[in-house]
Amino acid sequence: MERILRSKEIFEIIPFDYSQPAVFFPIRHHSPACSYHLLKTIEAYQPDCILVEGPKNADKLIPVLTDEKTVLPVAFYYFYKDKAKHINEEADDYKCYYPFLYTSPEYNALSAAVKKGIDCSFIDLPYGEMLINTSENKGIRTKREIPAYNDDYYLSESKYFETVCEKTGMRNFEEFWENFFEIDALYIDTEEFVSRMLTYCYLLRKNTPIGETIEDGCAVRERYMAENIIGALETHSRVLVVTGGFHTSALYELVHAKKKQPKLKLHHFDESVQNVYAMAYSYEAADALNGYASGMQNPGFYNSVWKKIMDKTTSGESPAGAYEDTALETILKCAKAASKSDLLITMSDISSAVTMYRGLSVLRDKKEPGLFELYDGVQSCFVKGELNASSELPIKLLRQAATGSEIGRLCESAEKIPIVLNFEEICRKYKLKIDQIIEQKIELDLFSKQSHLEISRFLYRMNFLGTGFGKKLKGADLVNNTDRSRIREIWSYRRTAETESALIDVSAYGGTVEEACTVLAARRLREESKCSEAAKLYVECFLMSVSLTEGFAEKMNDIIINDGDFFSLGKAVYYFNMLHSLGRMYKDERLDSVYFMSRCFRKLIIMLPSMINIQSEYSNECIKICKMLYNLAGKEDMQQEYEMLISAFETMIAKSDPEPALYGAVLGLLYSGNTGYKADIKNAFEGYLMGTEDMRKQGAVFLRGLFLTARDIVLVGNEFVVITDQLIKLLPMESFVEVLPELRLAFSYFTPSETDSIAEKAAALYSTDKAEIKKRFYFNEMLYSAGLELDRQICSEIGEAIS
Amino acid sequence: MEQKLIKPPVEIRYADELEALAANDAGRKPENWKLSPKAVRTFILGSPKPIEYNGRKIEIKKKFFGNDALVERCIITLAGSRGLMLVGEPGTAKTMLSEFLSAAISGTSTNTVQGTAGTTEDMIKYSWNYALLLAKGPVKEALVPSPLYVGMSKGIITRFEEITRTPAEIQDSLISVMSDKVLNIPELENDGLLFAKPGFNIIGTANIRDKGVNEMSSALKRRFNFETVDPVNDVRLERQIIINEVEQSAAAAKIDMPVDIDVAELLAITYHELREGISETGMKIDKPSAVMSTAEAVSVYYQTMSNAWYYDQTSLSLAELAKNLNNAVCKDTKDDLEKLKSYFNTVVKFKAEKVGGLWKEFYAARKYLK
Repeated sequence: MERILRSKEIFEIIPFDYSQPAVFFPIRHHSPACSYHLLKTIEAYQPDCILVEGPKNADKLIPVLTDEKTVLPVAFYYFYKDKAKHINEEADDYKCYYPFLYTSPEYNALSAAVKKGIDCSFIDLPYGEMLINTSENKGIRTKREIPAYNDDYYLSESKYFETVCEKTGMRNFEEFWENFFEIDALYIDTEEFVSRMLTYCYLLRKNTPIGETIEDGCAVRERYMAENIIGALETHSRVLVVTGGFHTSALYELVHAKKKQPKLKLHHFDESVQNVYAMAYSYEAADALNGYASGMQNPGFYNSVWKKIMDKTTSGESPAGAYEDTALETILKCAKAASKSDLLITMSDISSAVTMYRGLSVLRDKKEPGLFELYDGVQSCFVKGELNASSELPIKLLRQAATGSEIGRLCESAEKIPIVLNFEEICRKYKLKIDQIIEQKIELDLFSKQSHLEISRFLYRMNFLGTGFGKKLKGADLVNNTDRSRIREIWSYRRTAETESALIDVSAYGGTVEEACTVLAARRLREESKCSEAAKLYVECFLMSVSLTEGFAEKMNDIIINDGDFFSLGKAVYYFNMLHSLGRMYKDERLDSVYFMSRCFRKLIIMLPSMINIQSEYSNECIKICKMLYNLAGKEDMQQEYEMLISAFETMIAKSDPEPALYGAVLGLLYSGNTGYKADIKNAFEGYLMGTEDMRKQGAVFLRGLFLTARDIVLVGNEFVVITDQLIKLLPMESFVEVLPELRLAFSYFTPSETDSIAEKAAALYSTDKAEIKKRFYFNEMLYSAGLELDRQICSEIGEAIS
Repeated sequence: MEQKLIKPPVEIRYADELEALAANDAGRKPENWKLSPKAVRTFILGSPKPIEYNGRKIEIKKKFFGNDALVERCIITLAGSRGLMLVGEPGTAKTMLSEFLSAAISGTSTNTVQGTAGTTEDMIKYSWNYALLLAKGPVKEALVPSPLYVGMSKGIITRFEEITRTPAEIQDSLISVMSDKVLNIPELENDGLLFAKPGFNIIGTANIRDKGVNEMSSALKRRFNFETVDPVNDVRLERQIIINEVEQSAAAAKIDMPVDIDVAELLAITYHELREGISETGMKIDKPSAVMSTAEAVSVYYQTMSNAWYYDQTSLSLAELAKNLNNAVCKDTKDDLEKLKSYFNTVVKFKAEKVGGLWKEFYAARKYLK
């Protein structure tokens, strides 16, 4: 392999000659080796222009990226809104990240250029153009959880590398790369390194069908990059071109082609349609991106290697040994982390692991132990017993160390997006730790500390904006009506790269988190047609303490008028009532909630009579609403609705063919307000009792509805116990078994002492008492045997008599 | 006439390869090792090109499949001061790997302690020839060395099979030997210390299905590097192992019948799917509780082949294969039979309909599952 990679012939195809007006330097994203040799090339070539692969519209961010006070990782966040449907009819929004680490050759090239005062710029198509020129699900339009600009998949996803790994005995592409390009790079000169890179990438390119490069937008991008290189050559005499190795040969050919291609015509997009921002990033997020073949994985480990290389070279030493030093540093870090997790790693384990990774590097003919030897060392010497989910902690810790935990920071001069600044300011104000990647927990005492209530609102707001910043672990859930008794909330929160990108996404809605929530909520309300959903949104606004002012009342009124769904209106009443009752507690009294509640209330009253014939599967929900309305009408501020409600109930019971449970429930509610309805209830029940068998079955359902709203009717006097007993007696066994669940449910509404009192009344009907019916009957074994014997004798005598 | 061995040890079976590697070995060797670590690796993982030896080209075949990095770690462990403990499911070639390592490193794979519930400390350390002991007293001549003693005195590997079947207190007798590399024989008084020679080390094997029977003490665990040997997870590799192993067993038994690659593949797929609990098409299957190792698959194939050979059949019968599979899978519980039947009624049926050929024949053989 080394022999192939050392081929000098490649320079005949793509020269690497410092006397040329353009030098093409091939790279892999985040590769320390590429960065190391690139810096040496800059020193040797002394270019007057450095061109770097990356969307051209990010040129304005080069000063931010290369500012001394900017701490990497930093990512460029690109977005494009396809409102004009250039891509397809979906008119989707697109976004992607382009992360920069200290190991990134692109960063090192730009940083060196800025330090030396060399002209520099990006040369790739702007993001939107790239998307327009890429087929669906190809290249940058490949559907991924986290879209990335970097396109290392050319290097690592080719079938060609599988053969290469097999031949070289490497486990995967990453091990192959580390051995032949990263570790070896510290022992060879730049010319040889570039020769290896060019050879590998050239062979790869030749093994990639042209059609594929057209489909994934690569060909158009290269055309545009070549245009920019040719343009730079007109004004500069030594141009250094830094691009992914896969593009190098194509770019060289395009730049040196005799017949130049016509200039590409680009669209001119407004900044609201296409733009790019710089944002703080994390190694963790960069590693996740790299998992999609967008650069070298394990950025934390290679960042340490890069630091060692820089330390050694700045003090005039050879970079050799950087991997050996990093391996030792990482294994000690891992052992230290293990001891914090109560896992005993002894000095003997550490020394054994060091022996292991050194031994393996010799056995595998590697000049220094790399990350793979480190993993082998940890697995072999730190894991005690079978390797499984419970014993793999040392490997997890190594993985964490290799990923890195640092978070980047932008320099002060960086144009920060107001909403991100506001977010950071609020976090500072409430002392929320956002400079750590470890998840933080916070317990909020909502009703005794004002600041806690404000933090809760802030976390709700962040969730509403889809930032994934906070996660409520415990606390009342007003939206789903669960855990309402909790007065504290426990949240976990963590700032990730997605937090910032989500904030950038909504930055158009406002300069502060609150403003964005207000605009977004109003926008959502505008699109809402269901009253329950609108009220739910109102609850969310209440939790966030966001006021919906402009046009809100009008819109809400419209929704209430146009929503003909009884249940949706019922839910809305529930939400508005809840907000009304919680307003004082949450220090956010919303007077309009009473108004909306009464609007919905009245509409429900109008709809009530028609509900009496509802299908039985909806009766429970309907009963709940009737009960709620009845309770609400009893309140001081809703008393004017009471008469209307009673009148609606009366209309309901006068209708024919009522749903029995709802019928029972409404009669029960009427009885609660006026005991004179007892006779109506008795009549109704007797109607069921005297009817057909089917009607009797419905009687059980009627009882369930009745007991749900007026269970005291059974407790006063004996009448209802008697008629319930009659019902049970009249039902044949099969029907009884059929309605038994209904009856059980009906009696489950009573408290244990009430059940006891009913049982007593039932016992009295059969001339017995409570104690007697609680008795258990046991068979005497002897008596049972004697009975059996008697039975047998009778049968035999009957048999004889018949014969 | 010299009788053939049923199962010759590795150093005899692969004598040519070991000699050829030793003759061509220019690598650095730890003291008392017969081969350098690189040559040991080549012996186990194979060489892409044959090696010239005594005018012959000796092909070094790959003998252990599935995890090359594990083999490399094992070799480096043995060159260090810690012992090597191979753990894993039954039938994952732990013993075979330990034999390869011992034969390549020390030239012998037979210096072995077999761990059982009845293993005593004398079996691990040393015992006495009582006739000599009575006649001459406690002298070296009367001492009966154990494999551990032999390993220490000669500077070779001692294999300790199924270490977790041995009672924990007996296992712990290894602690001082592992840490101080010295065996104390108090009966010999001044002559009673046996210092291990370079090259000595221990390879233990433990079956994870025995976990909890005799859990190793943490003191002993600290003296070993652990390697978990997983079942082969690649159907192609599993097929190749079946072919290689069956060919060797057939040659030893003088069964002159070629291995049917398609049947080997069918068996490899069947074992793989039953072990993983999922079919190639993503259908979920109940996993039998029986051991579904590649070694079992080899055994099923070999039995089927023997049947065909001795009963004069021209080709392998898939009905016989299904019967042998049935016997191999349905050992412990009745549930396994149901699981196997369900596998036939879902996955095999699906393949019989979609792929046809051997799978159709295999599906027809479901009537023999009982």
